[in-house]
Amino acid sequence: MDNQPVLEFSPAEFVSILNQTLEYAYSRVVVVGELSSFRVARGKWVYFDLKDDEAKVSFFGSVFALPGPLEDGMMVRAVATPRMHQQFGFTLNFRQLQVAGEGSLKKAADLLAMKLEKEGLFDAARKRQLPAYAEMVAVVSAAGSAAESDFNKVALQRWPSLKIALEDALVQGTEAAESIVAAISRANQHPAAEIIVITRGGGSADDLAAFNDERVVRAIAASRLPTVVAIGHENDLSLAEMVADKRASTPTDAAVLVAADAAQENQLLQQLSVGLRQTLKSMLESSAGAVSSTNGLLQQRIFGLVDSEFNKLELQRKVVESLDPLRPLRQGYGLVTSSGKRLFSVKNIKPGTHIDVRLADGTINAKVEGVK
Amino acid sequence: MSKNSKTSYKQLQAQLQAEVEWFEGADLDIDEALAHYEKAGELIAQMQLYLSDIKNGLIKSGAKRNKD
Repeated sequence: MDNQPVLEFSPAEFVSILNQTLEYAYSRVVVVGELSSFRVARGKWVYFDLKDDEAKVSFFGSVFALPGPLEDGMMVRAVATPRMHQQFGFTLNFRQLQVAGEGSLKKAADLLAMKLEKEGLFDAARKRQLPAYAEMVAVVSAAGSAAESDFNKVALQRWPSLKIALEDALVQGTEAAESIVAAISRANQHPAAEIIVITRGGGSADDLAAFNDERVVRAIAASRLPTVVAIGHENDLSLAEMVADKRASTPTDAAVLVAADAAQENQLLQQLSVGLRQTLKSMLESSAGAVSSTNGLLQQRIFGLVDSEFNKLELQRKVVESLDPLRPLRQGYGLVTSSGKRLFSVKNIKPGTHIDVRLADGTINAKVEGVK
Repeated sequence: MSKNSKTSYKQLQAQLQAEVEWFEGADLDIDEALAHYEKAGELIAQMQLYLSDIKNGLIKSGAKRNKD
């Protein structure tokens, strides 16, 4: 021991060499402990300690890495880099924070819920309708997970032409919140996507912590596309589900919400088609009946007019018949003329006068022998 | 329609009326009277045919509609 050389440093040199050693040995550590002395300075910088029964360590970082409102006493998991500061001494610079433990998670979620409730993020008026016949949905889930597989299977069974764009995301762990936020952002950039489904299977409160993370909840609230959040559990709604436009209890339930049932739609269309055909048929029959009835009336009217003309014509025919100049001749009368003039009297007729007597079938040329 | 489609029923009626009115004149010549009488008879036959054509046409079109 005594033979070992004693190194001598200036304070700045010591801080520098200590930081190099820490960087080499512990560039990234995860510390889990009870939160104490939590404070936010100038709305930007966060200071707190994590402690247990025997020790406490100080942390420093940005508000942007906070999962939501925090309070002393909560159990917190911090991902951090140890640093020795030249002025303020040893600290852990946190990059990610996650509330840990069921009680703390519940408390953190309640605090965040109160805050977001005041902002109106859960208002029913904000909820948007889902398109009835979506052709493309973006799914934020862990690639290859049971949730993704269940969703795809049921959605494609119901609407086989549905296009599904998976946006792979970590759905648990300290990096889950950031990963989900990034996936939601990518999903919103799909020009053809009509709905975003954010889904995962059930799990412990710790597993589902990202769905109560303020960054995730705000990303869902700000989504351009309508959202469906489906976490595989029924109790204790997550804030992500509360803020979504629609909530589904399981990935399968989300598929039912999002994908129309083609078989059912087809059946409905067939029923509608039959109904329309029947309506059309009865309209045509009714119209044809009306036309036929009108036509019959018109025909009757014309028949009446024609018969009336026939009757009038028959009367005229009788009148004309009575005018037949040969009729009296056929009855035995004769038409007597002298020098082409008709004779109406025996006056001035002397014996020897030549006369013509016209009968029905010819003319007699005669000479008057006497006049009585 | 009538075979003589150029002359309407109304025109035929007017012609017949003129023929009948001719007989109302005085001192009628029997040969002229015969000519007018025959003309009136022809007009009546034409008018009867005209009306029959209308009636038959209606019956035929009614039967066709019922068949359709």
